[in-house]
Amino acid sequence: MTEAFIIASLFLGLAVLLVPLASRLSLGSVLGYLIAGTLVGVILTYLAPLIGVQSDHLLEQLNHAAEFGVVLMLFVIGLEIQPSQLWKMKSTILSAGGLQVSLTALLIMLIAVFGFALNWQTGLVIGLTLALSSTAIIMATLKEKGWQNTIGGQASFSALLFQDIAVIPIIAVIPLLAMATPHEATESLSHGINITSHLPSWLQPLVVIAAIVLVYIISRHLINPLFDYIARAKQKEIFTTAALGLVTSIAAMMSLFGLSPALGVFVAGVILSESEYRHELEADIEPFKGLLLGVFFMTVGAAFNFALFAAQYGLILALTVGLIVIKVLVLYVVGKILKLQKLEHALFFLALAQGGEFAFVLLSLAVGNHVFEPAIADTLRIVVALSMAITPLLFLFYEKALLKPNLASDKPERPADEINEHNKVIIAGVGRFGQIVGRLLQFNHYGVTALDNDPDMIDMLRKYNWKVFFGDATRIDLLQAAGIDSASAMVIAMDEPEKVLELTAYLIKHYPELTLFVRARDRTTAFRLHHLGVKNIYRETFETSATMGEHVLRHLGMRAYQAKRSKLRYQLADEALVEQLAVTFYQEDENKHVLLAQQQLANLAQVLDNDQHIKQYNLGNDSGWDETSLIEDSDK
Amino acid sequence: MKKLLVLFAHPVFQTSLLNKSLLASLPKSTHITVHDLYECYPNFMIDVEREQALLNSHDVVMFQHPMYWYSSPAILKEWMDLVFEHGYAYGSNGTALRGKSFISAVTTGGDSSNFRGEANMRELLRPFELTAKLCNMTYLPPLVTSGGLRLKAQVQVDLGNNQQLQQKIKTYQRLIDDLLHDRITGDASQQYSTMNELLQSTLVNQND
Repeated sequence: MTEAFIIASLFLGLAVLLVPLASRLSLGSVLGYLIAGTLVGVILTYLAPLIGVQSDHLLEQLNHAAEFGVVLMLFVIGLEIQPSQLWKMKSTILSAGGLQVSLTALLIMLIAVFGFALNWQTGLVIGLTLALSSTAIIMATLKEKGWQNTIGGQASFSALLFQDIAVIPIIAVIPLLAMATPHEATESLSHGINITSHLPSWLQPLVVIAAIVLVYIISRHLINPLFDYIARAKQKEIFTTAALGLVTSIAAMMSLFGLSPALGVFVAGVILSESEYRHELEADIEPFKGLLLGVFFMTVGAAFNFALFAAQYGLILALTVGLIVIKVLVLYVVGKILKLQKLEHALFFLALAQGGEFAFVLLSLAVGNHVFEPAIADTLRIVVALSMAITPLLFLFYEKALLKPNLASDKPERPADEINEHNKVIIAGVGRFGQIVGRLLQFNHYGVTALDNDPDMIDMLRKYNWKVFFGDATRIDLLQAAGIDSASAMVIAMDEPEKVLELTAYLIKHYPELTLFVRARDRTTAFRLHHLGVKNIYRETFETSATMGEHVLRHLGMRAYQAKRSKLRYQLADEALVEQLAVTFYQEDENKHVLLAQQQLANLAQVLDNDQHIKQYNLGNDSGWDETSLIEDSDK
Repeated sequence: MKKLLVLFAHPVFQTSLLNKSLLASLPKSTHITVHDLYECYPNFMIDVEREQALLNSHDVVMFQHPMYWYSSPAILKEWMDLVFEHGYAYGSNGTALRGKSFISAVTTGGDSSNFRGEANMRELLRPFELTAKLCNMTYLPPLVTSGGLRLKAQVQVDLGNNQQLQQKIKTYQRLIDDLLHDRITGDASQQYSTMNELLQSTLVNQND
């Protein structure tokens, strides 16, 4: 156990040390992880004998955990791809991704076959493996820099989507290219038990299809009712547990069939992307995904084979530069076809110019299936890792050299395919209060994104085409998934005053540009919101009860318009007083620590006192229409 | 008998003396509809369909209101903006008001001497006149009931027996009666700048 703690501390400590440093140098977190991993590797080779573990064996085990990070990442990618969006972007995806993957794979295959005298199967697998880029690096960087919606960013995203989907057939095809018997192949693929190992190779594709159909049925028909049931229990941890459990069970099932767990969870993710639990799932998985992906990149770094690099550094450097050059050239040609001509579109050429994390998975798979020698895979691993390490530098080059001088020329250009579903207004809490706000906005054709944690309410609203997502709106990761970064206003209308205050305080601090409209349950909440600096506060019964008062006045014989103006004047005076009282409320709170209930009673007394104040404003009189002085004058 | 629609606008009716007296003097008749705009629409959400239906079922449209800063109170302007729609009140298909009569019955706090010369009441009400004409209505000169403040200053006086006030009410009642019986023609009335003058002259004629 002690060793495990030592090693975990080593990994986490170096990550904590180096990742923020890399981010600060705008190299991106991935490079930070890779470097941290390399250091871990170096340290481990000296440390391992001292604490009595085998460092190779240890890394292999860590690798399994880290691969689960890749699996989780595919699940989240799947969640982000709605089939309907996919369909809308189909032409871009096919042209950007299809051309890129096939041209790159073909070129690399030709080089492998003619330059290095490898057989065509080996060449094809290497080509396909190296054609893929790093979704993790690119998506993280696009998000970090806010480039997702630029034309170059959109094209990159489309190509990545194609690659992520292409992984699936590639994984399915590798065993068929194997030179060894399928029996051995499937065994190493699934790291253990496998119920299909006795099947002949021609049956394998059928198994793939059957397994996908099974995943489809489960995701489509079993998951939603299950999550409904869990959500009603209102236990956040159980929901997270269920989300992780879902991913592990699908991964386990796929492994049992001798298939890629990544493939299975990706399909499940795509299917669940239409579910109302999508954002909640994404938010739940995200921290695990982030952590495990970090570990994944670190194991890549730790496995960096210095001995091999020292022996073949000439070849490896040449291959790395060659890979990047080939990828950039192919992307340039694809970009020309897609009419990406401006300098800032160069993002597309540069972003995808590295090998991806799938390369590591595919290389292991190919070795496991005896498609080629482990030595080739070892060399290529270093090439891919180096190309990934160079990517942040390419981004830096793009940002400093190409983007900056050109920025002013045509920023407002918008991409043709809109994948950004985010609305301008997010409503947190669509119970009896927020619902009305949402209805008014929809009535005026403004789309709203709503968050609520009542599954029944969500079901109902979704029937009327509301974009409602399940989740606790005080969860910041969920808000981010709902698009808070691009929203212009946020309606905070949850029932619980404490949650309203918590969320408001957070948003004011971290999103000062966002305009907040906040529901206040009572005066006390209103005081506290004032104290936080909220401008738009809506005491929930204030308007209705004042209107009711207006109508009672009418019943008593007051003219309708007089009653109306009296109500409005009363409201204005009262709101002004709430602002004043908000100050004294806090003074009392800090000095005397009055209990909340007592406070509220005290407040009521204050309100009544202040109504005497309000009366002094002589509310019954609109002096513009007052004739008293005129009558006096007319006598003169 | 013609049907008369009184569109009444007074934001502080409760403090008014003249308008209270005038409206109270109206005879109970199915031919007269008094429509109190500030009472019906304290939120200014004017129901255009309802208003147009009211216009359709009446022959004479009377705007009754105090003069505020040489014009009508705000709600009446809002009412006109919304109800006199293109295609309803004017324009090639806007014929709904054609042939109806339009008259203003205004009250003033000051004396009638304040509304002479450049503040001539007929001139001040020109926007209403032009509106009526654009809607193909027959525009009748306005009835002006003035001196509200002077009357109010005499609070101690028994208003029920106040000669001045009774005279004003009588003039108003005569106008209403003439309108209901269609005794005033548009052409003949145009030589008078106010309805008060017209009524005065017919009174003289009758006496002859």
